[in-house]
Amino acid sequence: MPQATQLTITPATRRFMPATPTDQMNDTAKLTPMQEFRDGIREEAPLMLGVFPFGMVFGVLGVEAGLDPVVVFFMSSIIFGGASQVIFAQMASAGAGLFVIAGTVGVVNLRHALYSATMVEYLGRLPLGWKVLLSYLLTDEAFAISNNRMRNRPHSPHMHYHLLGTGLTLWVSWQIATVTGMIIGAAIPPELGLGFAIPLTFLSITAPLLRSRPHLAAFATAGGVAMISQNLPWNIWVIVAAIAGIIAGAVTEKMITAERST
Amino acid sequence: MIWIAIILAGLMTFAARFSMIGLIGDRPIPDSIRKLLAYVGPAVMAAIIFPAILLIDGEIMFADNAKIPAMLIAAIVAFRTGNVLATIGTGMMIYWLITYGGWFT
Repeated sequence: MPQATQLTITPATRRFMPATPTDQMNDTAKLTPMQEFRDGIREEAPLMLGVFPFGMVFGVLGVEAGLDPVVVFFMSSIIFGGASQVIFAQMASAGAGLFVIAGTVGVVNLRHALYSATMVEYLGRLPLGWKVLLSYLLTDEAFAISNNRMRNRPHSPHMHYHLLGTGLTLWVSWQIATVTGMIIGAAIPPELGLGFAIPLTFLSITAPLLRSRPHLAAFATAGGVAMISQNLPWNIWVIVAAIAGIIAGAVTEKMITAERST
Repeated sequence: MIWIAIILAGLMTFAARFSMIGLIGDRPIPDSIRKLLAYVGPAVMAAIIFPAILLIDGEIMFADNAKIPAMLIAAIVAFRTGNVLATIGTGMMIYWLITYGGWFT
């Protein structure tokens, strides 16, 4: 450890210091909660270029579907799941039964259980209050960015603040975008295709990972399965495609390892 | 009552997000499972991206689908630069050039 950092240890900063000697070997372990939190916000911020238009699209759609504006507004904080809220509004305007709508949203968002499983390693030791808060904030966009941080940078005792940063950034923007869409809705021409911003956002996070062959296999397989399983009931194709992709990734990894060892 | 549907949907969504964090807690995760979890990101992302691009009103569309060329060019930008703003910006620009400017038509 460099001399300069030694000198900065005061009783005030000591509580942010890592507990184990091995942790002291890596740099990120020194990050304070505030630094992790800010990193989360900073890394999530560019995604708002895609998330904001999508939130507006939902606001417009909710009002057009004939839902009460109060309902549209609170849906963004009670469900807090972009694509599933759009499905909710579409099904409601098509006159689907309430339990069918709720069930479909539940199935579409079942994929978040996979995020939950991935985050166990990093959040499993936190007190219940933290677990509840961070679970509530565990959306696609927050997961994608914070998962990159957890996997690719050294662990630190405060890295859950990173997810708090990405999650809150997304939450605040999503609420503002929903209201904006509700208010200026009619002024947005539909042919602008603002909904296209969301697959672009996901592409921008995912493409850099696809240099690895197993990741590419997971991506291509999940995409293919998603296309051929569209007719399954309850939108179950989301989770079916995701699981198929995960298996394809693991199998490819195994094949590559076997190739190398022979 | 629409509120019942929203609260149910919200509870199910939260249950999915909390499930493993709440149930497994601080117990160690077997290596075999951890290997699978490495692919959660790209798999779920692909499951969202592909239908969002290829389906128009529920039908698979390859011709006259401005999203496909826009997505391919955005993919090159994403792959080469890893820049989120540039990727979304390029994709939307190409999409608008095609739909408003009449490119490729």
